[in-house]
Amino acid sequence: MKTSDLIELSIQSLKRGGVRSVLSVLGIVIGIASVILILSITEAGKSFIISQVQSAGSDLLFLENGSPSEVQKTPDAFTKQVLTDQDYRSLKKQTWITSIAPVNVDMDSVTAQGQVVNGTVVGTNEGITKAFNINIAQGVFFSEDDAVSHRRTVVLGGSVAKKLFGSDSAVGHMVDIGGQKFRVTATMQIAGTRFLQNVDDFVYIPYTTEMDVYAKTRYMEFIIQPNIARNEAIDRAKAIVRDNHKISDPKDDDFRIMTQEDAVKIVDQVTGSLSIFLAAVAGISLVVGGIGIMNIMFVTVTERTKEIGIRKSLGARTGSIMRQFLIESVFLTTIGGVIGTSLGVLLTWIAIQIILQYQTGWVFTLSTTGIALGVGFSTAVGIIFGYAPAKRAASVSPIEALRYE
Amino acid sequence: MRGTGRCIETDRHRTTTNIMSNIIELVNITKDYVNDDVVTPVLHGVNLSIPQGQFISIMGPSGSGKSTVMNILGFLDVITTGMYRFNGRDVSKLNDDQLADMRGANIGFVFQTFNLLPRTTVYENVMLPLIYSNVPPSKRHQIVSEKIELVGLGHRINNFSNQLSGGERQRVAIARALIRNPDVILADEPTGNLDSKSGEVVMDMLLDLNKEQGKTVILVTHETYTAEYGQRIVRIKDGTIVSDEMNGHRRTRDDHQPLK
Repeated sequence: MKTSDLIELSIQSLKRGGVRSVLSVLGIVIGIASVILILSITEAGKSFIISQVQSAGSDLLFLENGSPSEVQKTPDAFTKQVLTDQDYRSLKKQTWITSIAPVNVDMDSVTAQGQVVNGTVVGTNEGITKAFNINIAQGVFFSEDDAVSHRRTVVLGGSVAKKLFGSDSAVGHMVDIGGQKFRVTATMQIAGTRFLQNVDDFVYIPYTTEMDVYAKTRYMEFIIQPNIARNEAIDRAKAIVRDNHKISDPKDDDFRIMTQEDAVKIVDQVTGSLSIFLAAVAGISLVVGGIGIMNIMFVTVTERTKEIGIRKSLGARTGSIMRQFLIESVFLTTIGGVIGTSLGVLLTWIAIQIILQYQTGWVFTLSTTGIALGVGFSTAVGIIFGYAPAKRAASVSPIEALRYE
Repeated sequence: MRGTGRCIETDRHRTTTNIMSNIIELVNITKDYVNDDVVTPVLHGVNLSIPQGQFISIMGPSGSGKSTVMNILGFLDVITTGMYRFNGRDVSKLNDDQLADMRGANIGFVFQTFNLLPRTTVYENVMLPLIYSNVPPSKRHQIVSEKIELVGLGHRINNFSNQLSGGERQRVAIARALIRNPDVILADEPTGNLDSKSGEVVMDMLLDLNKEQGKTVILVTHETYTAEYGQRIVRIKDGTIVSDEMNGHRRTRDDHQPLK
């Protein structure tokens, strides 16, 4: 029996099956569409997060509170805050550091000209522009002198400036942050998201002023841009902070230094296990779909007992009948696989469009693993769940089958 | 009594078969059906030789075992004891695949209920046996069209089988039976579901196949009128052959009389 004959037979019986054929592959279609959707979305999410990490300045070091072993326990509100002004000053004077930006963050309302916006208040210095890779639209970033003098100056993020002052220039105007008056020295260009946060909603004030207003004595983190090799910079920074904190054994470190690469690694781990879990759940629907196929094939075999008898009387061997029914079920599931793949691609595209309404920077990504897995799985399901019905079909006795009405 | 009769019949038959070569030889075959350890004997020692090119009618009431004989002759069933030689080859101990190949290559079945595939065109029905043969797809179209023309259904070639009348369906079945050019046509009550006129057309076709193409035709029927198309009539009862005689007044194409 030729392959072309087998395929033609499958097409014929598929046509005869009509609506029932379509319904029977629905489980497979849904299963494969969800596998592809889930794997593609997690992959797109991963690319998005990684692009976020990489959109900031390159080769940055993030000096954070907490021991290195606690890296994956973020966010930990109970981590002891240990980064001090002394750490900042001793790092600041190193010649191998191009810039060091302290970072402290608070949520607060920002008011001007009767407009109120909820902003993210960042206590920092000009180094943040290098760290976030953002540019000034108008004015001058407040100086280190402003910080030393604890001045009430502020730089507004792009959308904050637009919401408060519209198209007017904000530079030189006063804004109210947490009940305190600040003078605007600059506004930033619209820049989108960095580290998953919309920096256009940020307002930047001197790190010293932030500590005054929000009553703090420690820093959340320092973003360091070194001008020497990364590992050397890490070692030197660690040595300095250890000295400040009077730590002799690195095991006792109460701080850690992260790189962008470390961040990517964590993202990889988290999305990796997440997508495996989700795909496994979707895989269950493939098994359910396979059982649906087996059911329909068993019904088909019973209904077509007469046909099997006729074929056998015309010289069909047991193996020919077996192959016919097996190919038929593989054909069904493979068609389900193709439809499911197309549906999965379509759903992924729609999902990305919806996400883009809320967060820019996502890119339509298709998981090739998902597609290969989906199509491969659908064929395997056809073979596995088509085997028993095909076996039954082939074992029908020709005499009884011919007598069957 | 019965045993003696059978011997006489067999002896008389042998005189004719010695000259011609036998395409089918059943030697003392028996058939038992076993169901839940209960053995039901159906055939008790049947001897039957059919020469190449003979038109033979097998008659018998239902339950006589004639269907079993037909199934055995058509390789649909296997014998319990005895010997079945087809074209001189012992086929008693063939396995399932070998039986399937024998059916495909040597037997053209014509059934009472036509046994065409529903919702399948005339063309596809007639082509069906070829997909189980070595005939390459490129050569199939010509063979199929030829056989459909032969039974006079060229204008129906793309109709579905269930759109045809009974007589037309049986002609499709005959075209299908001929598609692999078998030596033997095995017709099981071919006129049983047909009106008299269609029945005559079908019987004339079988007659022509026998006379003009030299096909061996084995006709199983319970109607004496239909059986008389045969050169020889064998009667089976209770699993044995009770009579086997040449038909002196064989029905021909010209002496049709209306069936009752």
